[in-house]
Amino acid sequence: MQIMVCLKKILDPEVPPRDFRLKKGEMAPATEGIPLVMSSFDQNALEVGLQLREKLAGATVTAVTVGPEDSEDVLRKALAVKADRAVRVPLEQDSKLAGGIVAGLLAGAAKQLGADLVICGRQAGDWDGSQVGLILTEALGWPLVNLVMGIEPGSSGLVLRRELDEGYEVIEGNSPLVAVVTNHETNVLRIAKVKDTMAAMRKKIELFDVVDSAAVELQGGRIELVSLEIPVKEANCEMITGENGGEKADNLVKRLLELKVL
Amino acid sequence: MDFELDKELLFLKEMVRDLVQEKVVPRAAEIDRTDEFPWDIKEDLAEHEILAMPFPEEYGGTGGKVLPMVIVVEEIAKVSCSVSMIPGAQCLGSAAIVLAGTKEQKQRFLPSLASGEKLCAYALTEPNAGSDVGGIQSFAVREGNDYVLNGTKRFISFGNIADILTVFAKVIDQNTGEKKLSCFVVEKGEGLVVRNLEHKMGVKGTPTAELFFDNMRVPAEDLLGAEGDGFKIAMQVLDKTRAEVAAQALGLAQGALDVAVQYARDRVQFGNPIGKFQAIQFKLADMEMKTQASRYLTYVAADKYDRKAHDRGKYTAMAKAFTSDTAMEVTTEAIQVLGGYGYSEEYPVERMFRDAKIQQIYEGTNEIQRIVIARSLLGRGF
Repeated sequence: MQIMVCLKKILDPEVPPRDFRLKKGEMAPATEGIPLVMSSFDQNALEVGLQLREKLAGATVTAVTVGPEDSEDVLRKALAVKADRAVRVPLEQDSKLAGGIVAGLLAGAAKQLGADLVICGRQAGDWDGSQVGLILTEALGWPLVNLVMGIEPGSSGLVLRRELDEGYEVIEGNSPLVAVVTNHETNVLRIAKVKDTMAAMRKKIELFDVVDSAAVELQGGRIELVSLEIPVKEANCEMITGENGGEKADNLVKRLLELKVL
Repeated sequence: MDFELDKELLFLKEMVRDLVQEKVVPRAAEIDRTDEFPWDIKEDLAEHEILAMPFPEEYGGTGGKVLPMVIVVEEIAKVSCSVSMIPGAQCLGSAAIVLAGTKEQKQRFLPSLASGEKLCAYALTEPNAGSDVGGIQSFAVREGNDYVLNGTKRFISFGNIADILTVFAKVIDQNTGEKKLSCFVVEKGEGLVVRNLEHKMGVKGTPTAELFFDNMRVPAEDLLGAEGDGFKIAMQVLDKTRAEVAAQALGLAQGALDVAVQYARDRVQFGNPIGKFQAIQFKLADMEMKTQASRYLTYVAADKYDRKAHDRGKYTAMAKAFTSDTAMEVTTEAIQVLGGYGYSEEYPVERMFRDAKIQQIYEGTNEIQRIVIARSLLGRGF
């Protein structure tokens, strides 16, 4: 089974809010001094793919990303945890609002690869678009299982496990299909070993040219970014007075009603 | 001229950072508080091949280069100097075998050390012989196919938990009475009594032991090099591992600086974050200058060692002395920046301060390093 895992490189979401800035005159975050990392849900997706491969003789995991050359870092990280292959689909433009384009390119890559199963993270940790997995499914015309936490081989196909508020849902499915993965304690991405880490830098990254794929017809550009700003937090303190606790509580409720908080 | 680490090493650094964040950060303060060796973290380091780093690939290692080891030790020591000593001690304890062992000796001892199945320790220091290696009193006498070893070793890091020891003792020629300092690989067994030394000031959770050899029989085939090679081997080992002590000190300095910077941005006094005050800015600037200078010196020393540069011994000595002095200064100033909080266990800088002091002492005091450096300038007659 050819398992394809889609990965995106993003600004480290753990960066302290005070270090997060926007580029002057541009509607984009400043990247200087901020580490770039593999999107966290994509890490979960990769781990799900690796765990499935370990249980399926002959299965391979191919990590795929769409972006410029510097996005290959996430592929190196995937190779360090022993993904079998790494593929980059070149895209120079800023893809923040181009979920459709990215999804189309990934669909093209899946076809070129002959993938049986495509695994994506549930949303990118930067723009939280949550679109690529779904549009990619549409482009491929495959079934989708959303919010998956783990996949295992079943007697006649794949067994996908979803976590719901009230318990777990188990879905049996046959490839080809797309699984969109959410985070769970069982799918935290493993940490690489020293030799694999060093070897990953010497491994080949394949370039797929899928620009002409029909799937790209699902263009982005349907969304326009009008403004981008960091919310200004204001903290004002108002003391609620009263003779006793009950009166203070009454005054607090009145004030909250005035402010339309309640 | 390029002073940046190559991508492979940067990638390794990132990988270790991930490991440290997941495994070491949650345990660092606890290891210091309980003073217990973190066996679980030792297993993590083995599993991720950190303990394999001091060894050549043919013996199950990852290559044995010093610069990658320095990068890894620095990254761990930013969070826990005690944990960084686990690969550090594995390297120190085994270096004599790597540098002076025969192929057979390496084949026998190194694979189980590279896998982390066994730990090792370097047994040089004695109650009356620390800086003065020539003053070693432990002795060995050849009897048939064995040497019979007697003597006491003190302040042996990991001496009680190590399975394999590299022990320095003087072989006494029974005919001439001549004493030749030599090095043995010793597997723990009959004739060895181990006593734990407790209550150190810092590097808690890294056991230190006293070893008593009482007519311990060591097979003659476990002599490293020839009789009389001991001093040369001891110095060759320290030439190498001093770079890793520098890396520990570097990690400590960087870790303390990071905490101080964060605190200076957050702590408000007189209506402003204290980082707005020049008194604090100048401290942070000095800390950064010295830490960065230490980093470049340490990396250069490690790189020179890996390239077998003729002046590598001088450079590892300079890196060890300069960086450990820096760590002491930077951790002291970090406490000052944090004020009362820095002096409390609520923040890690007081632990880093205690851990920094030993860096100026072990694997050759900084005074001995300065002698090494001065002799490289003046010649051996001085």
